Amino acid sequence: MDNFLKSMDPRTKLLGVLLLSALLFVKPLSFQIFSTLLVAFLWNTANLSLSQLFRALKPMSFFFAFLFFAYVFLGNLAEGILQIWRFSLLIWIAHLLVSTTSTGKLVLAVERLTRPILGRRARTLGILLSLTIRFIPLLQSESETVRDAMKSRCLRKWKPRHFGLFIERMLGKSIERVGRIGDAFISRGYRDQGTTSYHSLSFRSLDYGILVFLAVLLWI
Amino acid sequence: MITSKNLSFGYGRGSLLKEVTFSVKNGEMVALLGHNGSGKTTLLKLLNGLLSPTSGTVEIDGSDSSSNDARQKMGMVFQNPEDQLVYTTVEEDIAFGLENIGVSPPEMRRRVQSILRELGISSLSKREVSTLSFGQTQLVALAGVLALNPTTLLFDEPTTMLDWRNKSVFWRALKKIAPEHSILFSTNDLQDLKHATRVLLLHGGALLFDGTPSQLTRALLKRAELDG
Repeated sequence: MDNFLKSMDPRTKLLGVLLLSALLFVKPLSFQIFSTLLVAFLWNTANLSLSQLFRALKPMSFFFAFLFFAYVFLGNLAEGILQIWRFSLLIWIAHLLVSTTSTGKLVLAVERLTRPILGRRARTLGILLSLTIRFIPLLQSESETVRDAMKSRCLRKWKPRHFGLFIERMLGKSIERVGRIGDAFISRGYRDQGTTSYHSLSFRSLDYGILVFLAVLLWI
Repeated sequence: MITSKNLSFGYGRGSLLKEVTFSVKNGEMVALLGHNGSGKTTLLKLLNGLLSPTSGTVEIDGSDSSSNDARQKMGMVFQNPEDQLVYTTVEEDIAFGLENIGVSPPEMRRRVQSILRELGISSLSKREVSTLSFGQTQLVALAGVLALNPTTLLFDEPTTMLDWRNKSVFWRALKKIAPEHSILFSTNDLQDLKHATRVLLLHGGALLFDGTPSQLTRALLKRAELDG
């Protein structure tokens, strides 16, 4: 059972994530409750811990706080809580996908699913997705280093100009990194056509079953 | 084999490299020595075809360095190897270059496993690259380069961020593969010269010295005597 999510074809998982995410915004509250139970079941199946559940939300804490206060300001607290719950579900669903699928498989799934529309640019889209997954934690760690460096130089209270300095430093670091990644891509012979893949994908009966389940969800 | 003839980059006072001529033969492990800002990284990028020279030529086994043919014969490990890993697991990342040149999946798996064994890092195969130490990351970056069977290897300050233990692992791995490759590594650490068969000394963008490490030591001692 613990390999159920890992053994699924990544295309099925990707389609599932996209469909559930879209339905969360168009279906009634009962669907949100159903999605919460589904996420809880899948989280348990994937052997992910409770602490990971909260860690996944941490980077979005500012956004959630903003959303909450915006709805409080508008006098609609209940709707604010529902929205935060909805966005949390979105993050958990995406977290489930990323933590049970290697990026190589994810890139291939994106490439195969988008090739009919994007043609040769499909691989580039997949690789960009892979780079995002790979470099967001690195950027987070760099942002902590910059914050610590500012704190170690006696910064106790953040003023708007400190935020400006922080953003400027982070932008500089990101641009430098993008340049180095570009060099690495050229150096490693990156191409968007005539390529092969380390993985091979194949739909099995489990995937067909899940696709039928997703179609039923869409129909209901 | 690397052949650089009258290689220059930049113009006038902003010139970063001036008429650099040298060659690195197969089986040689050549150190590119110089202070920070002496032009080492620029020279490596020119050799790797990442920059185009203002004048002069670079050939890899007789092909222009910016051609696809030369690019496949040459691999470069960057100063911060973390920047050159694309996928999140080790085996997938090693396969990235092989995917790009269209190697068949069974052959790709065989080459990835073989290179992991050769570098003694088979145990890292399924690991997430974000969980690797700096030394391990560097070996994985090297594996990604070696998987393409290059004849020429370039390293930009490979030992700068390594501790003594990882340095020794790195040099052991490099000596193992050295006989079949032309290797050029940049450094500003004199300790690294003991691993080199030849030294190129770069200063202010110009090549000041091309000889063996012992010849360099003698030249430096002579200079010190003259300076009193």
